[in-house]
Amino acid sequence: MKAPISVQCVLSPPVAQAGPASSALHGLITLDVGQLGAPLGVELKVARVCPTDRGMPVLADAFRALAESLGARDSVIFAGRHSTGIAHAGPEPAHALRSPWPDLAGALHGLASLMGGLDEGRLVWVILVVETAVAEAGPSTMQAVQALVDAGAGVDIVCTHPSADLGLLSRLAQRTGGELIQASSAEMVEKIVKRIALLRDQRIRRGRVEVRTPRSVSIQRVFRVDPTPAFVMMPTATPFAPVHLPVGLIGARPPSWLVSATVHGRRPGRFRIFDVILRYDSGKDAAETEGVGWQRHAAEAPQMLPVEAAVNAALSRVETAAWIDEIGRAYQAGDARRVAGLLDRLVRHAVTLDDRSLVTRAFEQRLGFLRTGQLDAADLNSLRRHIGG
Amino acid sequence: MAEPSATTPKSETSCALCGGPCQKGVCTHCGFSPPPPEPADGIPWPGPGAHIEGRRPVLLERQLTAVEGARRFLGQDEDGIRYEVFVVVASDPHGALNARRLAHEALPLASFPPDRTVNTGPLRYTLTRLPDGAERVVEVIARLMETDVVDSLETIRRFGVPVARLFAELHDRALFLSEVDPEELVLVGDRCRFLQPPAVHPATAAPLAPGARRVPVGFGAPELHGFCGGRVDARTDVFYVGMVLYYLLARIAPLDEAADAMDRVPSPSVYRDDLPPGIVAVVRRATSPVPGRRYPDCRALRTALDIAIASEDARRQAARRQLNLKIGHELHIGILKGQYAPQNQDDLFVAYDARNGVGLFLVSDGVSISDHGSGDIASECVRIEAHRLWQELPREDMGDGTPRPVLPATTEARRRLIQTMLDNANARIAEIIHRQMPRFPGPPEGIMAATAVVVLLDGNRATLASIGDSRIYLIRDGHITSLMAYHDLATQLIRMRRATPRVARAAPAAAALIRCVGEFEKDANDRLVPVPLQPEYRELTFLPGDALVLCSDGIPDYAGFDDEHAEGRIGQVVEAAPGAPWAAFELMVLANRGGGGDNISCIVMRFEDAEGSA
Repeated sequence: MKAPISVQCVLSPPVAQAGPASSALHGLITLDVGQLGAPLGVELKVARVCPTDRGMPVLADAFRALAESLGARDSVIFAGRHSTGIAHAGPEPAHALRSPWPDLAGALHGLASLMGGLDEGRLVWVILVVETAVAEAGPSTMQAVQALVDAGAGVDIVCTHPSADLGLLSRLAQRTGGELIQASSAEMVEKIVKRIALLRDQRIRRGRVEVRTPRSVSIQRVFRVDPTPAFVMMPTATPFAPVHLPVGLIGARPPSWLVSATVHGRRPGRFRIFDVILRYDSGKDAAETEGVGWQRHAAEAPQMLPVEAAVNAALSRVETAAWIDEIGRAYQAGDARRVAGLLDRLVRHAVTLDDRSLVTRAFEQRLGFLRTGQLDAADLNSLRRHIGG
Repeated sequence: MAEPSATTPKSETSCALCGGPCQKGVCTHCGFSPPPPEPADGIPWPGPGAHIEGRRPVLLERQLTAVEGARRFLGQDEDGIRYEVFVVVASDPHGALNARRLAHEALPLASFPPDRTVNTGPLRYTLTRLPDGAERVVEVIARLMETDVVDSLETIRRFGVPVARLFAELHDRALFLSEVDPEELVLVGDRCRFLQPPAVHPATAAPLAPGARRVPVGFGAPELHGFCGGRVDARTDVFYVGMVLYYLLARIAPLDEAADAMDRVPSPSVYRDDLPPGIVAVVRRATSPVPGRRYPDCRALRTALDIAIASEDARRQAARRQLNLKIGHELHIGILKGQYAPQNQDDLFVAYDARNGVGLFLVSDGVSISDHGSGDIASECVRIEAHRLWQELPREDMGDGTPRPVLPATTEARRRLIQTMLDNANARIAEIIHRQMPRFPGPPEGIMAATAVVVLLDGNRATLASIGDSRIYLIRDGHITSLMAYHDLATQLIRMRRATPRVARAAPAAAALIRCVGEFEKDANDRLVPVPLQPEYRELTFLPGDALVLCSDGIPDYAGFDDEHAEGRIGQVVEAAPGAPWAAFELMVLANRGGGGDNISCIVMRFEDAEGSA
């Protein structure tokens, strides 16, 4: 009988030439979702980081209606500099908090403080609406995100501000298994409705993929490929520690990740590069499944190269997202030469993907930067939005 | 982890390779895992060097890529007749022989029918005789690499056209291949066949999605590796055929980086001088890393190749005659460049006598980064010397009472004229520096310099010269090709075989010019001594319908998304413009629309049939 959910890992290149030199390799980790159990139900929390109370009553009504549609206990929290915090939904009392968190870090800490006493059988999820130009996250923000991860909560960040650093918000969301959803104010509710429909259909919780490597393999970067490409992490502090990746929500496109690593020189043989363990619970039982990524080192270069093209195709997708983030960082650092070079590279990359819309947008930004030396964060975000679908 | 010493006995839980600790049979340090032993099938498979006994014994010389349940070899008998030998177990449990028969039936045009079968012990040998003179494509390329003098046009006609024709026939039948081992392509006379019929896909279905594949190194398109969207279709075969043509022209070993998505393989002209420009243009389009820029299928490729070969034949056979030449030129500072550098450092010179078809054309681009002098003065020096050359050309009365300039009859003499002109410009730069500094204290590399592209025209024939990285493009039949190699570090490293294209492009200062007008040494008195310059030369015969563009790098650098796109747009603009002056103006506008980040100069020359000529 087919397992309800399994994990696969394929490597590119699957065969490399043996030798003393280190080489780069990429692993594509995918989940194969079969027949899972019944939906779990959702413990939903909604928070808002905004400069004013404008639109608050409308949003409150909308969220309340959405929460009621879940037919479950709910908490709706609004956080903003001037928020009054009005919310009530579901059969049980909601948390109504008065303006304690004027910024992103405050909102995340506040949410983390509410994670105790949750229904263990349900999926715990947060929708965080950000309406300010968030541009940086300090250690305090990361601590709060980690607390949410430890509590098993995923965070979707809905950003409506055109100039917010979407690369940063995306990384925060990805760390919890959530998604960054960029939306205009008009699109926001529609996108949240879709997201909640997905939440209602979830059948596993606390899903987490653990990637282990032998000591001669160093993981360099981790990207999320599906459902939307995003840079997740660059594990450098503890090089041999396992990498943990929250699974997040399972929809039409099952989650997948791309792990880039450096492999030290090898002699000919067959090597176990990645041990990938998926742990999750289905509401009743905890379960575990495992996949392995193998690479073979051959003494001589093969005439016909074995290729896992799907891994390289995934790499092409996520590299675009990574370059856009890198352009933003280079601009912040005032490195105009690097910004121009990366924009040029982005254009050429988009050309190879035959993505005419992305080519045009990136080329216009390159032109604009060459002419003015200025780069608008909103324009970078429009590129991110394009590749995120 | 330290390497285990030779005297340390390895325990059962130690890795056999690195000596690290093992858990469940897998090394925790390197990940080595001994593969499970393959079940021995007990079949006495032959190896290279074995003989097939019989009336005419055949020596198995070389093993080929195997298919499941079979072994394959190239063999030869005592009379020198070559065979492809396919070995299966007589009972053939894998059905390999049957699969092979079906494949041959599916591609009767493209593969050889089996010749005879020999049973020896448990094995069955199927021998396919290769016709006399049959040569595998990889053997041809290897042979050409060791040959000094090659007629490139004839090479393409003899070896390249059959390959293009074979793939075109398959595309005509709505099939494409995608993964073809170049070892399997065999040339017989004017035909090309497969040793082992490859897997075919219907061209009418959706492109193949990314997946596990076996890709020929140096011939596989980027999309086979999953790049460029990863969708595989007939354009993948176009790339394959383009790379076969590429190696036939460039005469180099297959390049690992052929599948790079972001960078084109260097032009074959980088490796070999005087390649037929029309064929180079076809190869460049076929080997584009971007599938959408290639020919849609091999039919289109073959048509373009046939047209290019016909043009090159005509070019070789054309006698000296005068063509009607239309000229346009533009010089612009560049919209963006002008905002921070008020001097235009490009210069150009155009002189043409329509009566006898003699002309001199020059584009010079001053190098903007210099410690002494500036690029505009350097390019002006080149232009002044071009003007002087034109004025000092010998004159003859052509019957109309006006002395007309006349060029020397020999190629060497014309090249000497250009060489003298460039050397004089070099000396002029030194004079300017000496006027300011009789003793030059710094390194001579910091002195102003300029590039130069020169055309010395005599009717329909021209001597082209280039030093630096300015461009001369030939445009014809919807194709564009750059005629001269650039003197940047990366190109020269590739040209001298000092580095692969990937390594050369990553070299520090890869774009730095290593040759230009403005090269000096210093003598004992700290005076600058001009160094004899080393421009590249080329002879070209023009045909009616040709267009030539001389330009500084301000146009290709800003006319498109990348070099390839820019070249495509330059070709389109020049072919679409109603006249040469219009084309030159449009090129200037194109570069400015793309940013105008550098000075822009161009000369457009369009050759048409002279009125009343045959």
